[in-house]
Amino acid sequence: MGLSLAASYGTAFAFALRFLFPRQRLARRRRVYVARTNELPEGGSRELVDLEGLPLVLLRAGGDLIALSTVCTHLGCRVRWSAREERFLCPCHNAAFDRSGAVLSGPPPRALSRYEVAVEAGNIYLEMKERSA
Amino acid sequence: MKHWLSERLPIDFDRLRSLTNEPVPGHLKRWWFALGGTAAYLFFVQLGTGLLLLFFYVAEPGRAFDSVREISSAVPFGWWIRSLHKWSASGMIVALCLHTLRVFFTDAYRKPRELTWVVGCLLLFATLGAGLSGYSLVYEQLSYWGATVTSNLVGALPLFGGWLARLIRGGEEVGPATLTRFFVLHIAVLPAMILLLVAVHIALVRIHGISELRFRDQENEPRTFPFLPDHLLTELAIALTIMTLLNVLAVIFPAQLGERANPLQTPEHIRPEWYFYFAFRWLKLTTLRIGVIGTVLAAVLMVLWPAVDGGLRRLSPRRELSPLLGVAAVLVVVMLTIWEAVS
Repeated sequence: MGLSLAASYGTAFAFALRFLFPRQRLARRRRVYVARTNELPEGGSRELVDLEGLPLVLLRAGGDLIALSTVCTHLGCRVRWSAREERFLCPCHNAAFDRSGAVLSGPPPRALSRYEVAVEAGNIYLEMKERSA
Repeated sequence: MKHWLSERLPIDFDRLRSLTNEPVPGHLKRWWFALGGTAAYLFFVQLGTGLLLLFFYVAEPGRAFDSVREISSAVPFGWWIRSLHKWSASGMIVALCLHTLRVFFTDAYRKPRELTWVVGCLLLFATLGAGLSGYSLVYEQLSYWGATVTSNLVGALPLFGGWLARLIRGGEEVGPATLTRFFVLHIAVLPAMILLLVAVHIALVRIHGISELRFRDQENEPRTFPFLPDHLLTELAIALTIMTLLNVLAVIFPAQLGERANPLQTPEHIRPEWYFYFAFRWLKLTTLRIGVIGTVLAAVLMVLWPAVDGGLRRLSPRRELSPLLGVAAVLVVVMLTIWEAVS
C-alpha cells in the first residue's frame, strides 16, 4: 500500500518537475557571414547579435579580428566599450575588460566569451551556436 | 434560524471568542511593538491592489510594459492603485525589518519562541522575493536587468544553483518564459507562501503568547488588555494612519515608469529597489563566489540565530554578545545601503 502510494505520487511529482523544466535543446554550430574585411578598418568595431539573440562586438585590434560576447561573465549585464577609457565597462557591478576581453578589474570570474572568427575571400564569418526547436 | 444554523455549523462561538480574545501584554499599546500587525495589514493592501492590477496587466514580454503604461496613464485611478501597491510593498519591507529588529533586540526569539523567529525570517525572505519578482514585471530597463542579475545570481549558488536558475528562468537564459515564471511567482507562489507562513507565525504566537515587556510608566497599569476590542482598535488606528500615509505618498510620489526593457543594452546607471542596495553594493565588492556564498551564509545565520545565540551564551555567560553582533550587522547593512545610495 505504502509502496504503491509512494510510486504513484512520486511519478506525479516527477512529471510535474519535467513539466517545469523545458527540454534542453541541443546547440549546433553554424558559420555565419557578418561583414566584409574592408568594412572593418583598424580600430573599427561592429555590434552584432548572435543566433541566440545575444549581443556581441566584432572589432579589429592590432590587425587581428576579435569577436567578443558583450554579456558580462559576472551576472549577465551587457558591457559597453568606453572609447575614453579604452576598455569594456559593465554598468552593473563596475567590472572592466580590456580590448581582448580579459578582466581588468571588478568581480567577473573570467574573460568575456569569444566567438571563433574565420576569414575567407575577404568575408568574415563567425561560429555561432544555434539551438534547434 | 439560529437552531438551523447551529445544526449545520456546529461551532462553539463562546469557545471561538475565548480563542481569539487572548489577553494582550500592555507594551503592545505602543505602536512600534505592533509592527507585525502593520506588515500583515500592508500585505492585505497589496493583495487588494495586486488583484485590481491583474485586471489590466499582461504578462507577455511584448505587451507587459505597455500594459503597465496603460494602467498608469489611461485606466481611471490606475496610477493610484499601482502607487499604493508599490508603496505598500516598500512599507511592508520596512515594517518587517523593524519588527525583526525589535524581536531581536528584545530577545523575543529565545526559548520557546525559536520557531516563531525562523518562520518570521522566512516571511521576510518571501516578502523580499515578492518585491523583486513584482518589480521585474514592470518590464522597464531597470526591472528587466534586475531580473537578469537575480536569475544569474541564483545560478551562481553552489550545488543546486543551476537547477534553480533554470526553474525561475524557464530556460538556459533570461527570455520570454522568464517573465511568465516571475509572474507566477509573484501572484501565486509567493503570496500563498506568505499567507501560509503568516498563519503558522500567528499560531506560534498564540501557542507561546507574546513575550512580555514592562516599562516604568506602566507599573501601575494592568499587565494585559483584551484583544477585542482594545487591541483591534489599536490596529485599526494604525491601519488608518498607514492608509493615509500611503495615499500621501501615492499622490506626491506616484509610481514611475522608466524606459522599455531592452535585452541588448544594460543602462549606464543601474540599481535595484532600495531594499537590495546593500546586496548590490556587496556584490560589487566581492568575487561572485564570495558574494553569493556570503549572502546565503548571512541569511542562514539569521534564520538559525536562536541556536547561535545559545552557543554564544554558553561561551560567554556573563556578557551578552548577541546585541553587539546585531548592532554590527545592522551598521554593515545600513552602511552598504547608504554607500550604494550616494554613489
